Amino acid sequence: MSEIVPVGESKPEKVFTNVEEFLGISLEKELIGIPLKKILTISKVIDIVKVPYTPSYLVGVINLRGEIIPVLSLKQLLSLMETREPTRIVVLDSNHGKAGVLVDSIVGVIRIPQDRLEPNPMVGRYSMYVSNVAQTEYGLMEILDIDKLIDTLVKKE
Amino acid sequence: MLSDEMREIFNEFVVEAEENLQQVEENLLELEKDPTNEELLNATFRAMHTLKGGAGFLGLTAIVEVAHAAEDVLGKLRSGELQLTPEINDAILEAVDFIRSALPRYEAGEEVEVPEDLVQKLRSIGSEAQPTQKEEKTIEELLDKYGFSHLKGKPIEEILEELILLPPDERPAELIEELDKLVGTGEAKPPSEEKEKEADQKMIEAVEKPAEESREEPPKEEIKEEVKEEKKEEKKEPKKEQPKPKKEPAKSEGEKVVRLDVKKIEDLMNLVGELVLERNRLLRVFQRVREETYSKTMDELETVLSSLDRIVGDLQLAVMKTRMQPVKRLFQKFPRVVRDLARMLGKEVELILEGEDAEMDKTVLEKLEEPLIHLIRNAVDHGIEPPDERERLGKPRKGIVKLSAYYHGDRIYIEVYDDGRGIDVEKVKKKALEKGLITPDRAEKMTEKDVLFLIFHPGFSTAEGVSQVSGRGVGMDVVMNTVTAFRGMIDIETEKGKGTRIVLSFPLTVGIIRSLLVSVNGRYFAIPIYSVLEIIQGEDAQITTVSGKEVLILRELTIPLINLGEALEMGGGKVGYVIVSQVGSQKVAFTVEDLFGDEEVVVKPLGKIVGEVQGISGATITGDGKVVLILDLDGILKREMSSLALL
Repeated sequence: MSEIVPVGESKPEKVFTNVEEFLGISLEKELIGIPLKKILTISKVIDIVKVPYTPSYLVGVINLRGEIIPVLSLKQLLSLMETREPTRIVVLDSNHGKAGVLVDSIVGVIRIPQDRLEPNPMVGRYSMYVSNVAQTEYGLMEILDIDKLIDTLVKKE
Repeated sequence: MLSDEMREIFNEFVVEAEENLQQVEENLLELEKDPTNEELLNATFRAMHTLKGGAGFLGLTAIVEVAHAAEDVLGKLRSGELQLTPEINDAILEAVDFIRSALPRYEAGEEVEVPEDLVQKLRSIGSEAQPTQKEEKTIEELLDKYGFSHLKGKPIEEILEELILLPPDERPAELIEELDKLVGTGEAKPPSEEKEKEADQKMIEAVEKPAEESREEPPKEEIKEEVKEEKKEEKKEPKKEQPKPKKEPAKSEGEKVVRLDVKKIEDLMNLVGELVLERNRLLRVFQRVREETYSKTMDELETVLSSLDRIVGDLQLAVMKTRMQPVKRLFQKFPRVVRDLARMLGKEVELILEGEDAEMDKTVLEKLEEPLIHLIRNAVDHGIEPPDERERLGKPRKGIVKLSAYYHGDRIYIEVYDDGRGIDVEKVKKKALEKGLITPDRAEKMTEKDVLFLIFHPGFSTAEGVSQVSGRGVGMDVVMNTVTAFRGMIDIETEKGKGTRIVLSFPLTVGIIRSLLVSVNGRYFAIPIYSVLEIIQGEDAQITTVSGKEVLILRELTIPLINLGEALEMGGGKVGYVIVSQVGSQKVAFTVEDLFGDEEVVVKPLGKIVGEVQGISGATITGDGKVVLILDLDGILKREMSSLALL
């Protein structure tokens, strides 16, 4: 029911600069990167059980190998439009425990040398959660600070 | 104020200090009945002494000062210089309380001021005592003999401490033993007032300037180990050679006990929970295969499966047991509470503890302290009559409060009984009417039990005058809230003039609960079975409306009816069944679509990100891997009530 995305077989140009790895995900028109070390697993959209009385960004909970994991709507959290149907749940290891986020599709593992990570130039809807941006072959990738995002959720309650 | 390295030592000190305080307190209460018990006096003195030593090492000045003063009083008691009186006991208990309250403050990094009043009070107890020349000499002679002349003139306890803190190879074991004997047999009298002050001064200085004090102290990384090791030796040494070994109950037990991070146990619980679920699934699959095919191998498989089934069951129980702790941990706090209360109120009360070895889940145990304190206070304050009144009524002057624990079925019962005046049902009713908690109409229909349960209503208090002990109108609702939070139940029995019995009961295991599986609008939910009283077919249920709200008429009782689908914000839906349940002290009916029998389910928390959701107590995973939410009917009812209040 879940599949692990293989980390690139070849490891070129790693000698000179430190390279950081991200999981590139597609969310509506955006390309978003999540640090690979935060990713636990990727699953298809399985039966999500809505929890009554909870905010709408909390899509529900799933059973992931016997563990109850909350699933969050990244689109709602980042105030994006919801035109495409999410196809995957990316399960992350946050400061507040495991959490799944719904994404439209997986782009793949994207490796970026540290010196090519640029500060986020934008001020906007969710820029507070974007730690850096980087140019990739798939376009501009926004790197999401997932801990910061989940921190604000937990503090809100 | 504490560095990270010290933090760990500090944490250990806190655990040990709490044990020592507990021991001092228990012993003191025991000593009140048997003031000359030498063994107890010695154990008490040692506990206070160990505590002072640890606090000194960590520089907790306020604790050192108080412990020192208390230790001196204990020393005088031990030497027979003083007789234990309730007043002296009060003062030492006050010291215990102060130290107890100072610990969390130090933990939080606060500065704690030395409570001069308390120290003064302790010092003034039998302060005229003077040490005799002879013993001073003996100590000095000993010091000279072993080449520690520089320690001359200090109080013996301090000398011992310094010696004990030396690295093991430099530590003069024989000298320590000899000195210890002097302390142990009570030959060495506590030093005079002046000396004491001086010594304290030194202690504080030493504490404030750890660098100067350093004395062959081992390098920092080793400190922790050293301290542990030394403490052990400190405990053991006197045992070795002393003719009269001292009774140190906490310590002999200590060696059989391993302190474990709760997290580890929780992980284990989770894994066992998984295992249980998978076992259920395996058994179900096997049943299906069995129906389809038959062979001799299947018989063999069945044998294996049934023993696996049993082992998993035993394992589950064993792991659950690791979370269990004897209620003694909770009960031991009450002799003190009752004593203080009785003294304050001028009553004579004997507290009887029963079934202290019964075990219950740690999380519940910890949360039970406050409710039990309320119940016991109530028993002593409102229940037990003053001695003269009791005599007039032909009762013994001394009232009895009994706190007991026992098992019955898969529940544990905690009972608070008093042989006092009982609860006046009419008075309760009158009060509830006055406060507008019930309508006169309702008051007439209420059974005695219903009326009694009103005492758990928030804001209810029958105390005529507000006493400082209880009767502040808060408290009993705390009892109800805690009990329902842990799926517990309450029962009250009372007889005017004879006494009151309040019984709390809790499921033995918090992690696994028997639940009724229901569906609401096509979705599954689990309802803990303990709260289900009865189930009625939808078409047989007599449903009407009272002031616009639906109610269920059941054998002349009118029970509020909640449409579960609507309550869960997922639309009304069809009413297949009505579940009558006991929620806290009242009956409430819920409509559901369908029923799917009952099952043991492992409760899993929803996690920090979801947080606590009123109305949902957790989730479980069924045999076929589905997530089913477990409903907390009490929470749902509270939600309904507050939404009604808003209208």
